[in-house]
Amino acid sequence: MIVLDRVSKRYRSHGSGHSKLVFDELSAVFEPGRTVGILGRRGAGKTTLIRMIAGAIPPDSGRVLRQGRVSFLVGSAGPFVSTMTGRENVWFISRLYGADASEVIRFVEAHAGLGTDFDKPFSAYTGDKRGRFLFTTAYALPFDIYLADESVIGGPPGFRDWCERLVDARRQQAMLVFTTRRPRLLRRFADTGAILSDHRLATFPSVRDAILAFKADEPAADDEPLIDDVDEDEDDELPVPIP
Amino acid sequence: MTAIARPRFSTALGVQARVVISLMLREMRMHTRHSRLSYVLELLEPVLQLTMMLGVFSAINRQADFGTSMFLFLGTGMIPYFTFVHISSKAMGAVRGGGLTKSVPLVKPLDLMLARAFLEVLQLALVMILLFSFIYLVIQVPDAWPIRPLKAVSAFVVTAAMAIGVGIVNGVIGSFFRLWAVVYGVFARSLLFLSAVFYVPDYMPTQIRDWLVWNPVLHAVEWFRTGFYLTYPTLTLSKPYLIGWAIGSIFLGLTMERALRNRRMAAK
Repeated sequence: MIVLDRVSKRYRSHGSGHSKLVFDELSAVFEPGRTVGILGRRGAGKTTLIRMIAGAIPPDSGRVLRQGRVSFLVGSAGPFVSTMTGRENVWFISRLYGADASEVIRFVEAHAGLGTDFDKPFSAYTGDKRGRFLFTTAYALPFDIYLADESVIGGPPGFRDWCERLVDARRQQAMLVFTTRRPRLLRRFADTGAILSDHRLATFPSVRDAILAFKADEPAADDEPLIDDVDEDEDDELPVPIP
Repeated sequence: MTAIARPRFSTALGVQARVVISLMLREMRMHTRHSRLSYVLELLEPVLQLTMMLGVFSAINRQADFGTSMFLFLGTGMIPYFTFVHISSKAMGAVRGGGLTKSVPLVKPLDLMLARAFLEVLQLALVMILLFSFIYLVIQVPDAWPIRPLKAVSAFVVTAAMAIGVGIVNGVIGSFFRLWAVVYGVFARSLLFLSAVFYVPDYMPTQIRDWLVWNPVLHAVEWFRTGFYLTYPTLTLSKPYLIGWAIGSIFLGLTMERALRNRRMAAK
Protein backbone atom coordinates (compact mmCIF):
# COMPACT_ATOMS: atom_id res chain seq x y z
CA MET A 1 0.00 0.00 0.00
CA ILE A 2 1.22 3.46 -0.88
CA VAL A 3 -0.20 6.71 0.43
CA LEU A 4 0.76 10.10 -0.94
CA ASP A 5 -0.48 12.73 1.45
CA ARG A 6 -0.57 16.34 0.19
CA VAL A 7 2.84 16.08 -1.41
CA SER A 8 4.41 19.25 -2.82
CA LYS A 9 7.65 19.56 -4.69
CA ARG A 10 9.38 22.45 -6.38
CA TYR A 11 12.66 22.45 -8.28
CA ARG A 12 14.76 25.56 -8.01
CA SER A 13 17.48 26.27 -10.50
CA HIS A 14 20.79 27.76 -9.47
CA GLY A 15 21.40 31.45 -9.85
CA SER A 16 18.53 32.52 -12.07
CA GLY A 17 16.02 32.26 -9.24
CA HIS A 18 13.52 30.50 -11.47
CA SER A 19 11.70 27.61 -9.98
CA LYS A 20 9.44 24.99 -11.41
CA LEU A 21 6.49 23.59 -9.54
CA VAL A 22 6.30 19.83 -9.97
CA PHE A 23 3.63 18.70 -7.49
CA ASP A 24 1.08 20.85 -5.74
CA GLU A 25 -0.51 19.09 -2.76
CA LEU A 26 -0.74 15.86 -4.68
CA SER A 27 -2.62 13.09 -2.87
CA ALA A 28 -3.32 9.50 -3.83
CA VAL A 29 -3.86 6.09 -2.26
CA PHE A 30 -2.82 2.89 -4.01
CA GLU A 31 -4.37 -0.19 -2.46
CA PRO A 32 -2.38 -3.41 -2.01
CA GLY A 33 -2.52 -5.90 -4.84
CA ARG A 34 -3.21 -3.33 -7.54
CA THR A 35 -1.18 -2.57 -10.61
CA VAL A 36 -1.13 1.15 -11.07
CA GLY A 37 -0.16 2.75 -14.36
CA ILE A 38 0.52 6.48 -14.15
CA LEU A 39 0.25 8.37 -17.42
CA GLY A 40 1.97 11.68 -17.98
CA ARG A 41 3.25 13.86 -20.76
CA ARG A 42 6.89 14.75 -21.14
CA GLY A 43 8.05 16.92 -18.30
CA ALA A 44 4.97 16.24 -16.17
CA GLY A 45 7.19 14.91 -13.38
CA LYS A 46 6.80 11.17 -13.90
CA THR A 47 10.36 10.31 -12.92
CA THR A 48 10.21 12.63 -9.92
CA LEU A 49 6.98 10.98 -8.80
CA ILE A 50 8.18 7.40 -9.09
CA ARG A 51 11.47 8.22 -7.41
CA MET A 52 9.59 9.97 -4.63
CA ILE A 53 7.46 6.85 -4.16
CA ALA A 54 10.69 4.83 -4.06
CA GLY A 55 12.07 7.17 -1.39
CA ALA A 56 15.00 8.53 -3.37
CA ILE A 57 13.63 12.09 -3.50
CA PRO A 58 12.08 13.72 -0.44
CA PRO A 59 8.97 15.88 -0.86
CA ASP A 60 9.20 19.55 0.13
CA SER A 61 6.09 19.09 2.19
CA GLY A 62 3.57 16.32 2.73
CA ARG A 63 4.17 12.65 3.40
CA VAL A 64 4.82 9.50 1.40
CA LEU A 65 3.88 6.34 3.29
CA ARG A 66 4.66 2.83 2.13
CA GLN A 67 3.71 -0.54 3.52
CA GLY A 68 5.84 -3.48 2.45
CA ARG A 69 9.19 -4.01 0.82
CA VAL A 70 9.65 -1.43 -1.91
CA SER A 71 11.88 -2.19 -4.89
CA PHE A 72 14.44 0.00 -6.56
CA LEU A 73 13.41 1.10 -10.04
CA VAL A 74 13.08 -2.03 -12.15
CA GLY A 75 15.57 -2.13 -15.01
CA SER A 76 17.90 0.56 -13.61
CA ALA A 77 21.59 -0.27 -13.44
CA GLY A 78 22.26 2.04 -10.48
CA PRO A 79 22.27 -0.61 -7.77
CA PHE A 80 24.90 -2.69 -9.56
CA VAL A 81 28.64 -2.28 -9.36
CA SER A 82 30.35 -2.43 -12.74
CA THR A 83 33.55 -4.04 -11.47
CA MET A 84 31.79 -6.91 -9.75
CA THR A 85 30.50 -9.97 -11.58
CA GLY A 86 26.82 -10.58 -12.22
CA ARG A 87 26.78 -13.29 -9.59
CA GLU A 88 28.40 -11.06 -6.97
CA ASN A 89 26.02 -8.24 -7.77
CA VAL A 90 23.00 -10.50 -7.35
CA TRP A 91 24.43 -11.83 -4.11
CA PHE A 92 24.91 -8.35 -2.65
CA ILE A 93 21.57 -6.94 -3.71
CA SER A 94 19.83 -10.04 -2.28
CA ARG A 95 21.67 -9.67 1.00
CA LEU A 96 20.87 -5.97 1.11
CA TYR A 97 17.16 -6.61 0.76
CA GLY A 98 17.25 -9.61 3.09
CA ALA A 99 16.33 -12.14 0.40
CA ASP A 100 17.61 -15.70 0.15
CA ALA A 101 20.70 -15.05 -1.97
CA SER A 102 21.22 -18.61 -3.20
CA GLU A 103 17.64 -18.85 -4.37
CA VAL A 104 17.80 -15.52 -6.23
CA ILE A 105 21.11 -16.51 -7.83
CA ARG A 106 19.62 -19.83 -8.96
CA PHE A 107 16.66 -18.01 -10.51
CA VAL A 108 18.79 -15.46 -12.37
CA GLU A 109 21.22 -18.14 -13.53
CA ALA A 110 18.37 -20.26 -14.86
CA HIS A 111 16.37 -17.54 -16.59
CA ALA A 112 18.61 -14.64 -17.62
CA GLY A 113 20.45 -16.86 -20.11
CA LEU A 114 23.86 -15.38 -19.39
CA GLY A 115 25.80 -18.64 -19.40
CA THR A 116 29.41 -18.14 -18.39
CA ASP A 117 29.03 -14.34 -18.55
CA PHE A 118 27.29 -14.54 -15.20
CA ASP A 119 30.77 -14.72 -13.69
CA LYS A 120 32.17 -11.85 -15.73
CA PRO A 121 32.21 -8.21 -14.59
CA PHE A 122 28.91 -6.42 -15.03
CA SER A 123 30.62 -3.72 -17.13
CA ALA A 124 31.45 -6.33 -19.79
CA TYR A 125 27.78 -7.13 -20.50
CA THR A 126 26.43 -6.21 -23.91
CA GLY A 127 23.11 -4.40 -24.28
CA ASP A 128 20.98 -7.53 -24.58
CA LYS A 129 22.63 -9.36 -21.73
CA ARG A 130 22.51 -6.25 -19.58
CA GLY A 131 18.77 -5.95 -20.13
CA ARG A 132 18.13 -9.61 -19.42
CA PHE A 133 20.24 -9.43 -16.28
CA LEU A 134 18.67 -6.23 -14.93
CA PHE A 135 15.05 -7.27 -15.40
CA THR A 136 15.48 -10.87 -14.27
CA THR A 137 17.30 -9.77 -11.11
CA ALA A 138 14.76 -7.08 -10.25
CA TYR A 139 11.81 -9.46 -10.56
CA ALA A 140 13.71 -12.30 -8.89
CA LEU A 141 13.83 -10.33 -5.62
CA PRO A 142 10.76 -10.77 -3.42
CA PHE A 143 9.33 -7.26 -3.15
CA ASP A 144 5.82 -6.31 -2.08
CA ILE A 145 5.86 -3.26 -4.32
CA TYR A 146 7.67 -3.16 -7.66
CA LEU A 147 8.32 0.26 -9.14
CA ALA A 148 9.18 1.02 -12.75
CA ASP A 149 9.85 4.21 -14.64
CA GLU A 150 8.70 3.59 -18.22
CA SER A 151 10.55 0.27 -18.47
CA VAL A 152 8.28 -2.37 -16.96
CA ILE A 153 9.84 -4.97 -19.21
CA GLY A 154 12.98 -4.87 -21.29
CA GLY A 155 15.71 -6.84 -22.96
CA PRO A 156 15.79 -8.39 -26.43
CA PRO A 157 12.50 -9.31 -28.22
CA GLY A 158 12.54 -13.05 -27.42
CA PHE A 159 13.13 -12.30 -23.75
CA ARG A 160 10.34 -9.73 -23.54
CA ASP A 161 7.56 -12.32 -23.85
CA TRP A 162 8.95 -14.29 -20.96
CA CYS A 163 9.49 -11.06 -19.02
CA GLU A 164 5.85 -10.11 -19.55
CA ARG A 165 4.73 -13.43 -18.13
CA LEU A 166 7.08 -12.96 -15.20
CA VAL A 167 5.54 -9.56 -14.49
CA ASP A 168 2.07 -11.12 -14.63
CA ALA A 169 3.17 -13.76 -12.13
CA ARG A 170 4.55 -11.11 -9.77
CA ARG A 171 1.33 -9.09 -10.05
CA GLN A 172 -0.53 -11.99 -8.49
CA GLN A 173 1.20 -11.40 -5.16
CA ALA A 174 2.65 -7.93 -5.27
CA MET A 175 1.87 -4.38 -6.24
CA LEU A 176 3.29 -2.82 -9.36
CA VAL A 177 3.40 0.93 -9.86
CA PHE A 178 4.82 2.37 -13.06
CA THR A 179 4.89 5.67 -14.88
CA THR A 180 4.72 5.99 -18.64
CA ARG A 181 3.57 8.20 -21.48
CA ARG A 182 2.38 5.26 -23.55
CA PRO A 183 -1.21 4.17 -22.94
CA ARG A 184 -0.35 0.79 -24.48
CA LEU A 185 1.62 -0.18 -21.38
CA LEU A 186 -1.41 0.54 -19.19
CA ARG A 187 -3.63 -1.58 -21.40
CA ARG A 188 -1.24 -4.48 -21.07
CA PHE A 189 -0.34 -4.37 -17.37
CA ALA A 190 -2.44 -2.00 -15.29
CA ASP A 191 -5.72 -2.51 -13.48
CA THR A 192 -5.81 1.04 -12.11
CA GLY A 193 -5.07 4.11 -14.17
CA ALA A 194 -3.90 7.55 -13.11
CA ILE A 195 -2.95 10.71 -14.91
CA LEU A 196 -0.25 13.07 -13.77
CA SER A 197 -0.92 16.54 -15.08
CA ASP A 198 -1.07 20.10 -13.76
CA HIS A 199 0.94 19.10 -10.68
CA ARG A 200 -1.79 16.72 -9.51
CA LEU A 201 -2.56 13.05 -9.83
CA ALA A 202 -6.03 11.99 -10.94
CA THR A 203 -6.91 8.36 -10.26
CA PHE A 204 -9.45 6.52 -12.41
CA PRO A 205 -11.40 3.42 -11.46
CA SER A 206 -10.78 1.83 -14.84
CA VAL A 207 -7.79 1.88 -17.14
CA ARG A 208 -10.05 2.63 -20.11
CA ASP A 209 -11.33 5.85 -18.55
CA ALA A 210 -7.79 6.92 -17.76
CA ILE A 211 -6.61 6.37 -21.33
CA LEU A 212 -9.64 8.15 -22.79
CA ALA A 213 -9.13 11.11 -20.49
CA PHE A 214 -5.43 11.17 -21.29
CA LYS A 215 -6.09 11.23 -25.02
CA ALA A 216 -8.91 13.75 -24.75
CA ASP A 217 -6.60 16.06 -22.88
CA GLU A 218 -4.47 16.65 -25.95
CA PRO A 219 -6.06 15.04 -28.99
CA ALA A 220 -3.71 16.60 -31.52
CA ALA A 221 -0.63 14.78 -30.40
CA ASP A 222 -0.75 11.05 -30.70
CA ASP A 223 1.80 10.04 -28.13
CA GLU A 224 2.18 6.47 -29.13
CA PRO A 225 5.54 6.18 -30.82
CA LEU A 226 6.13 3.59 -33.52
CA ILE A 227 9.49 2.62 -32.13
CA ASP A 228 9.98 1.54 -28.54
CA ASP A 229 12.21 4.24 -27.13
CA VAL A 230 12.34 2.76 -23.69
CA ASP A 231 15.50 4.45 -22.54
CA GLU A 232 14.41 7.91 -23.55
CA ASP A 233 13.19 10.01 -20.72
CA GLU A 234 13.67 13.69 -20.49
CA ASP A 235 12.60 14.10 -16.91
CA ASP A 236 16.16 13.57 -15.76
CA GLU A 237 17.11 16.90 -17.24
CA LEU A 238 15.21 19.03 -14.79
CA PRO A 239 17.23 21.92 -13.37
CA VAL A 240 19.42 21.08 -10.44
CA PRO A 241 17.68 22.13 -7.22
CA ILE A 242 19.36 24.44 -4.76
CA PRO A 243 20.41 22.67 -1.55
CA MET B 1 -4.37 7.03 6.72
CA THR B 2 -3.98 4.94 9.83
CA ALA B 3 -3.66 1.72 7.84
CA ILE B 4 0.10 2.13 7.65
CA ALA B 5 1.78 1.42 10.95
CA ARG B 6 5.34 2.33 11.80
CA PRO B 7 7.69 -0.66 11.81
CA ARG B 8 8.68 -1.93 15.24
CA PHE B 9 11.98 -0.66 16.60
CA SER B 10 13.53 -4.12 16.74
CA THR B 11 12.56 -4.76 13.10
CA ALA B 12 14.02 -1.47 12.01
CA LEU B 13 17.23 -2.18 13.90
CA GLY B 14 17.45 -5.58 12.23
CA VAL B 15 17.11 -4.01 8.78
CA GLN B 16 19.75 -1.42 9.65
CA ALA B 17 22.21 -4.09 10.80
CA ARG B 18 21.55 -6.18 7.70
CA VAL B 19 22.09 -3.21 5.38
CA VAL B 20 25.26 -2.05 7.12
CA ILE B 21 26.80 -5.54 7.10
CA SER B 22 25.92 -6.02 3.42
CA LEU B 23 27.50 -2.68 2.60
CA MET B 24 30.65 -3.60 4.51
CA LEU B 25 31.00 -6.79 2.51
CA ARG B 26 30.32 -4.91 -0.71
CA GLU B 27 32.91 -2.30 0.19
CA MET B 28 35.55 -4.92 0.92
CA ARG B 29 34.84 -6.68 -2.35
CA MET B 30 35.06 -3.43 -4.32
CA HIS B 31 38.32 -2.51 -2.62
CA THR B 32 40.05 -5.78 -3.36
CA ARG B 33 38.72 -5.81 -6.91
CA HIS B 34 40.15 -2.44 -7.62
CA SER B 35 43.74 -3.15 -6.75
CA ARG B 36 44.99 -5.59 -4.18
CA LEU B 37 48.31 -3.81 -3.81
CA SER B 38 46.76 -0.44 -3.03
CA TYR B 39 44.61 -2.13 -0.42
CA VAL B 40 47.65 -3.64 1.27
CA LEU B 41 49.45 -0.29 1.14
CA GLU B 42 46.45 1.40 2.69
CA LEU B 43 46.51 -1.14 5.49
CA LEU B 44 50.19 -0.56 6.05
CA GLU B 45 50.04 3.22 5.89
CA PRO B 46 50.47 3.68 9.66
CA VAL B 47 53.44 1.32 9.58
CA LEU B 48 55.04 3.21 6.70
CA GLN B 49 54.53 6.57 8.33
CA LEU B 50 55.92 5.21 11.56
CA THR B 51 59.02 3.95 9.79
CA MET B 52 59.48 7.33 8.15
CA MET B 53 59.28 9.19 11.45
CA LEU B 54 61.64 6.70 13.05
CA GLY B 55 64.12 7.37 10.28
CA VAL B 56 63.96 11.10 10.89
CA PHE B 57 64.24 10.76 14.65
CA SER B 58 67.17 8.37 14.52
CA ALA B 59 68.90 10.71 12.07
CA ILE B 60 68.70 13.56 14.58
CA ASN B 61 69.56 11.14 17.39
CA ARG B 62 66.44 11.67 19.35
CA GLN B 63 65.60 9.43 22.27
CA ALA B 64 62.14 8.26 23.23
CA ASP B 65 60.50 10.66 25.68
CA PHE B 66 59.29 7.70 27.66
CA GLY B 67 60.39 4.09 27.85
CA THR B 68 63.35 2.61 26.09
CA SER B 69 62.00 1.96 22.62
CA MET B 70 61.38 4.81 20.21
CA PHE B 71 59.44 2.34 18.06
CA LEU B 72 56.97 1.50 20.79
CA PHE B 73 56.65 5.08 21.97
CA LEU B 74 55.79 6.32 18.48
CA GLY B 75 53.61 3.28 17.77
CA THR B 76 51.48 3.83 20.83
CA GLY B 77 51.05 7.45 19.77
CA MET B 78 50.42 6.70 16.14
CA ILE B 79 47.70 4.06 16.49
CA PRO B 80 45.14 6.24 18.37
CA TYR B 81 45.97 9.18 16.10
CA PHE B 82 45.45 7.09 12.97
CA THR B 83 42.31 5.53 14.39
CA PHE B 84 40.80 8.95 14.84
CA VAL B 85 41.96 10.55 11.58
CA HIS B 86 41.26 7.58 9.31
CA ILE B 87 37.79 6.75 10.58
CA SER B 88 36.63 10.36 10.81
CA SER B 89 37.74 11.26 7.28
CA LYS B 90 36.78 7.98 5.57
CA ALA B 91 33.26 8.16 6.96
CA MET B 92 32.97 11.54 5.27
CA GLY B 93 34.21 10.18 1.95
CA ALA B 94 31.59 7.43 2.01
CA VAL B 95 28.68 9.78 1.34
CA ARG B 96 30.29 12.00 -1.28
CA GLY B 97 28.22 11.65 -4.44
CA GLY B 98 25.90 9.27 -2.66
CA GLY B 99 25.57 6.98 -5.70
CA LEU B 100 23.95 4.04 -4.03
CA THR B 101 21.47 6.01 -1.93
CA LYS B 102 20.11 7.49 -5.14
CA SER B 103 19.45 4.21 -6.88
CA VAL B 104 18.69 2.05 -3.82
CA PRO B 105 16.48 4.12 -1.52
CA LEU B 106 16.72 1.43 1.16
CA VAL B 107 20.30 2.52 1.75
CA LYS B 108 20.54 5.77 3.69
CA PRO B 109 23.63 8.01 3.87
CA LEU B 110 24.06 7.04 7.52
CA ASP B 111 24.32 3.37 6.49
CA LEU B 112 27.12 4.21 4.07
CA MET B 113 28.97 6.19 6.73
CA LEU B 114 28.55 3.51 9.40
CA ALA B 115 29.60 0.71 7.04
CA ARG B 116 32.75 2.54 6.04
CA ALA B 117 33.54 3.51 9.63
CA PHE B 118 33.09 -0.03 11.00
CA LEU B 119 35.23 -1.38 8.20
CA GLU B 120 37.96 1.10 9.10
CA VAL B 121 37.71 0.11 12.77
CA LEU B 122 38.26 -3.54 11.83
CA GLN B 123 41.18 -2.65 9.58
CA LEU B 124 42.84 -0.50 12.21
CA ALA B 125 42.37 -3.17 14.85
CA LEU B 126 44.16 -5.53 12.49
CA VAL B 127 46.93 -3.00 11.84
CA MET B 128 47.29 -2.46 15.57
CA ILE B 129 47.69 -6.17 16.27
CA LEU B 130 50.16 -6.57 13.41
CA LEU B 131 52.22 -3.55 14.45
CA PHE B 132 52.58 -4.50 18.10
CA SER B 133 53.24 -8.14 17.25
CA PHE B 134 55.98 -6.92 14.92
CA ILE B 135 57.51 -4.71 17.62
CA TYR B 136 57.25 -7.54 20.14
CA LEU B 137 58.55 -10.38 17.99
CA VAL B 138 60.95 -8.77 15.52
CA ILE B 139 62.31 -5.74 17.36
CA GLN B 140 62.08 -7.65 20.62
CA VAL B 141 60.55 -4.99 22.82
CA PRO B 142 58.79 -6.86 25.64
CA ASP B 143 56.73 -3.78 26.51
CA ALA B 144 54.86 -4.12 23.20
CA TRP B 145 52.74 -6.75 24.88
CA PRO B 146 50.28 -4.42 26.70
CA ILE B 147 50.71 -4.76 30.43
CA ARG B 148 47.14 -3.61 30.99
CA PRO B 149 45.35 -4.76 27.81
CA LEU B 150 41.94 -3.66 29.01
CA LYS B 151 43.09 -0.04 29.16
CA ALA B 152 44.53 -0.15 25.65
CA VAL B 153 41.39 -1.78 24.27
CA SER B 154 38.99 0.59 26.01
CA ALA B 155 41.04 3.58 24.82
CA PHE B 156 40.85 2.21 21.27
CA VAL B 157 37.09 1.64 21.49
CA VAL B 158 36.36 5.13 22.86
CA THR B 159 38.65 6.71 20.27
CA ALA B 160 36.88 4.79 17.48
CA ALA B 161 33.49 5.87 18.85
CA MET B 162 34.55 9.51 18.87
CA ALA B 163 35.95 9.14 15.35
CA ILE B 164 32.65 7.72 14.10
CA GLY B 165 30.76 10.61 15.68
CA VAL B 166 33.09 13.21 14.18
CA GLY B 167 32.93 11.31 10.87
CA ILE B 168 29.13 11.61 10.77
CA VAL B 169 29.35 15.33 11.56
CA ASN B 170 31.93 15.66 8.78
CA GLY B 171 29.78 13.70 6.36
CA VAL B 172 26.81 15.99 6.93
CA ILE B 173 28.92 19.14 6.58
CA GLY B 174 30.71 17.69 3.56
CA SER B 175 27.51 17.07 1.67
CA PHE B 176 26.70 20.79 1.83
CA PHE B 177 30.20 22.13 1.62
CA ARG B 178 32.39 20.16 -0.78
CA LEU B 179 35.62 21.85 0.26
CA TRP B 180 35.21 20.55 3.79
CA ALA B 181 37.16 17.39 2.95
CA VAL B 182 40.23 19.50 2.11
CA VAL B 183 39.80 21.74 5.15
CA TYR B 184 39.42 18.74 7.42
CA GLY B 185 42.39 17.03 5.78
CA VAL B 186 44.67 19.95 6.63
CA PHE B 187 43.28 20.05 10.15
CA ALA B 188 43.76 16.30 10.60
CA ARG B 189 47.39 16.44 9.43
CA SER B 190 48.19 19.20 11.89
CA LEU B 191 46.63 17.13 14.66
CA LEU B 192 49.71 14.92 14.44
CA PHE B 193 51.72 17.64 16.18
CA LEU B 194 49.04 18.44 18.73
CA SER B 195 48.27 14.90 19.84
CA ALA B 196 51.30 13.85 21.86
CA VAL B 197 52.33 11.32 19.24
CA PHE B 198 56.05 11.99 19.76
CA TYR B 199 56.16 13.69 23.12
CA VAL B 200 54.76 13.33 26.62
CA PRO B 201 52.37 16.19 27.42
CA ASP B 202 53.21 16.12 31.10
CA TYR B 203 56.80 17.09 30.25
CA MET B 204 55.69 20.14 28.26
CA PRO B 205 55.78 23.67 29.68
CA THR B 206 52.56 24.57 31.44
CA GLN B 207 51.47 27.32 29.06
CA ILE B 208 51.65 24.94 26.08
CA ARG B 209 50.09 22.08 28.01
CA ASP B 210 47.12 24.22 29.02
CA TRP B 211 46.25 24.62 25.36
CA LEU B 212 47.05 21.09 24.27
CA VAL B 213 44.69 19.46 26.76
CA TRP B 214 41.68 20.69 24.81
CA ASN B 215 42.58 18.29 22.03
CA PRO B 216 40.63 15.04 22.60
CA VAL B 217 43.05 12.99 20.49
CA LEU B 218 45.79 13.83 23.01
CA HIS B 219 43.72 12.16 25.70
CA ALA B 220 43.19 9.18 23.39
CA VAL B 221 46.95 8.77 23.02
CA GLU B 222 47.55 9.17 26.75
CA TRP B 223 44.87 6.66 27.66
CA PHE B 224 46.18 4.18 25.10
CA ARG B 225 49.72 4.50 26.46
CA THR B 226 48.65 3.73 30.02
CA GLY B 227 47.87 0.26 28.71
CA PHE B 228 51.50 -0.23 27.74
CA TYR B 229 53.52 1.74 30.31
CA LEU B 230 52.90 1.11 33.99
CA THR B 231 54.38 4.43 35.12
CA TYR B 232 53.30 6.72 32.29
CA PRO B 233 52.61 10.19 33.71
CA THR B 234 48.90 10.94 33.38
CA LEU B 235 48.55 14.32 35.02
CA THR B 236 46.81 15.70 31.92
CA LEU B 237 44.74 12.62 31.09
CA SER B 238 40.99 13.01 31.52
CA LYS B 239 38.99 9.97 30.45
CA PRO B 240 35.60 11.63 31.03
CA TYR B 241 36.66 14.38 28.61
CA LEU B 242 37.31 11.86 25.83
CA ILE B 243 34.17 9.87 26.61
CA GLY B 244 32.23 13.13 26.61
CA TRP B 245 33.61 13.94 23.18
CA ALA B 246 32.62 10.49 21.91
CA ILE B 247 29.05 10.71 23.18
CA GLY B 248 28.72 14.37 22.24
CA SER B 249 29.97 13.93 18.68
CA ILE B 250 27.79 10.89 18.02
CA PHE B 251 24.77 12.74 19.38
CA LEU B 252 25.55 15.86 17.36
CA GLY B 253 26.23 13.83 14.22
CA LEU B 254 22.99 11.88 14.40
CA THR B 255 21.02 15.02 15.20
CA MET B 256 22.50 16.91 12.26
CA GLU B 257 21.94 13.92 9.97
CA ARG B 258 18.27 13.70 10.94
CA ALA B 259 17.58 17.42 10.94
CA LEU B 260 19.17 18.08 7.57
CA ARG B 261 18.32 14.79 5.84
CA ASN B 262 15.72 16.12 3.45
CA ARG B 263 17.69 19.18 2.47
CA ARG B 264 20.75 17.05 1.97
CA MET B 265 18.98 14.52 -0.22
CA ALA B 266 17.50 17.32 -2.29
CA ALA B 267 20.97 18.81 -2.71
CA LYS B 268 22.28 15.70 -4.43
